[in-house]
Amino acid sequence: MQSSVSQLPWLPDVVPNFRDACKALVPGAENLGSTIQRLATSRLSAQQAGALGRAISRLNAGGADLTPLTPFRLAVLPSATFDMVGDALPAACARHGVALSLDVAPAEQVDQVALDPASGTLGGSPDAIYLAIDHRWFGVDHLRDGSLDDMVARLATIVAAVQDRTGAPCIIPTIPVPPLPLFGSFDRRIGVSMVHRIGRLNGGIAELSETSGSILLDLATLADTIGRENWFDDRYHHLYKLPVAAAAVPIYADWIGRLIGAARGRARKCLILDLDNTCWGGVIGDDGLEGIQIGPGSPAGEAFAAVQQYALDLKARGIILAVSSKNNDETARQAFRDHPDMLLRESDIAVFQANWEDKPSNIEAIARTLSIGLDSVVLLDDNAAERAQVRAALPMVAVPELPSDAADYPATLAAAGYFEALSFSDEDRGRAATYEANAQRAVVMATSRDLGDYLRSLDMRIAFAPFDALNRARIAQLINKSNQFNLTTRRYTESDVAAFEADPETWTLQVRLSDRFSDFGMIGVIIASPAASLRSTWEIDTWLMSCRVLGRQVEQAMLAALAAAGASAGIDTLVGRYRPTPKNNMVADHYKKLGFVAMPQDGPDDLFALALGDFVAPALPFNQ
Amino acid sequence: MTNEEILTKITDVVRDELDEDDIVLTPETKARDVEGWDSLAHVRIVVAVEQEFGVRFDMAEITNLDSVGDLVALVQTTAG
Repeated sequence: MQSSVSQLPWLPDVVPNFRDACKALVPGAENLGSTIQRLATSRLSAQQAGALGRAISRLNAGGADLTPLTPFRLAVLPSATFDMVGDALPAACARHGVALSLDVAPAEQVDQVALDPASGTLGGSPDAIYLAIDHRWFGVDHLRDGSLDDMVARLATIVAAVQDRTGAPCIIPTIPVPPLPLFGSFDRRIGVSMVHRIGRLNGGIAELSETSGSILLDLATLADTIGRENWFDDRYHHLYKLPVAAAAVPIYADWIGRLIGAARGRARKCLILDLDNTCWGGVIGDDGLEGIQIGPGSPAGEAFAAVQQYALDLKARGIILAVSSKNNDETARQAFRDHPDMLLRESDIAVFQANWEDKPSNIEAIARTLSIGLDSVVLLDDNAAERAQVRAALPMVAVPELPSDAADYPATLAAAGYFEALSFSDEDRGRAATYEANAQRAVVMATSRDLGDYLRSLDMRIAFAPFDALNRARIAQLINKSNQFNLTTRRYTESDVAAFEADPETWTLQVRLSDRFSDFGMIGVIIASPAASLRSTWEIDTWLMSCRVLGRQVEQAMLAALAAAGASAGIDTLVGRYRPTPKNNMVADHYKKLGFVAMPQDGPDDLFALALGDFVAPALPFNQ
Repeated sequence: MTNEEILTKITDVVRDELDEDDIVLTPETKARDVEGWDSLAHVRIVVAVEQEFGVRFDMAEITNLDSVGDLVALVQTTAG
């Protein structure tokens, strides 16, 4: 079910020990700024945002160094109670790379404070001044003929006075329309209805922001996005002069945070796209070019086409596109070159990383190649485990949580507001082109990244069993579908598989894997049987695995199961065979990596041997 | 939900809101008895209680609140 934008569904859950983490934010603590930003980049409750905000304010007041957060002083002149938004604002700004100091004037004194040369609020050298006004401040009413030009002029006077006094820009909002139509659709046409008048007023405000050099905060659009009935809460306005509903406060604060972040150059510049199940439906390594879903042939295809279209639209406004995918390079590029329904082409992608290295290393390589910071990057990836890995390894990369339905991907990415901007120049428009968008491959630097903690945190469960009738069809399917992680590419029918099941001399293995994010089902198969001419030796007839579970040490676990079974059966040597095909190059070194020793070739096949006496099963990150 | 359970949850909300784990609330407790429970905190607490229990109070119900016990009773009648 799609979460309302007001719940900030692109943000991950709050860490379990949030309150302790907040208390640990003391001057002199390591990596204060990054920790604050990381804590802020989660779905905070109002209390949590307030607690984090108080910690930030304390640290700011004490002059703590909050690098890499950029300091920013905001003054606010509110026409109504601003406290609830003010509480949420420092955390929202930290999310966008800014350490905020806040000076809020007393409520309902916007004109007085702005026009008073001695006002304290404006005396603190603010970097910007937010005029937190609404339709009530303007006095926009139904069927009354007050001049809209006068209303805009009043705001212009305030803006000019504040700018003269501080030398800093104002942030001015557009005005949401209270949901109180007098006619219905006719309100739009009749000149004195609120819908019509506020619409024209907002046009005047937008123009004023241009002519006065003010920053526009489009609250009218925000209110429409979450629904104006959800934006306004008359009860709390009557009781406490609160201008917006409590549930709207987090997204309201986040929109201000985005603008301030953009004002300080902290908006993101580059969108990195995963491919399988992000830009198309399916896994191209398994399903082939014909099997992926993209384009008008199916609802899923249309949904993924919309993802690609949105990426192209972002590119047209200057956002750089890159690809990071766990795939063979040629296999992935083939879709971009040959699939008629792909909207994205290689020429749209500045850096194209399709390989089997870990994503954090690839993302680092992309950022390095583009000479941009990791804090300029957004990763769009359907895979929750990959998202978690990147967040853990590279916390400055923005990784939105995605809903389960790809149809909701574009809207979720858009709602997150990573690419906010205060202007749009020709230089911006052409930026993507200046990055020689030749889909270049960046060299991935071999960082010895300790994945142990990350793998353990996945809470993986692995299950081993011999072939059985219940799973025969799925086993046969894997045997016949796997092309890449397949050592010998021997194809067997279901009755062949049944024969293996029944043969007491053959050792069979089916492997299932799940982790805390998903259940992968069956992801591996081994068939081993006594070697024809060698005593106490098993030859591995078939070893295949799903590419989805690479990089998790599943191969090591499968070997451990095989070795244990061999040892119990009195076997002392395992022989592995690699038969090269155009598609299985990735497993050429599979047996070497597992500690097997190369033997003389057998025709086109490479052979490898492992002495079980020498084999010690390593510690592995699985619960069995 | 029993009144005790409601009171426990409200106590958690108030402790969270006032950032003070030692607060103890009884049905007789009034806002002015609790340090930090000023009018602004009151707004936040009422909002937080609404969100915690997934309810919406009427304006009149909010203005008539005098003690914590009133709030517990209000949650009980609204949430059931």
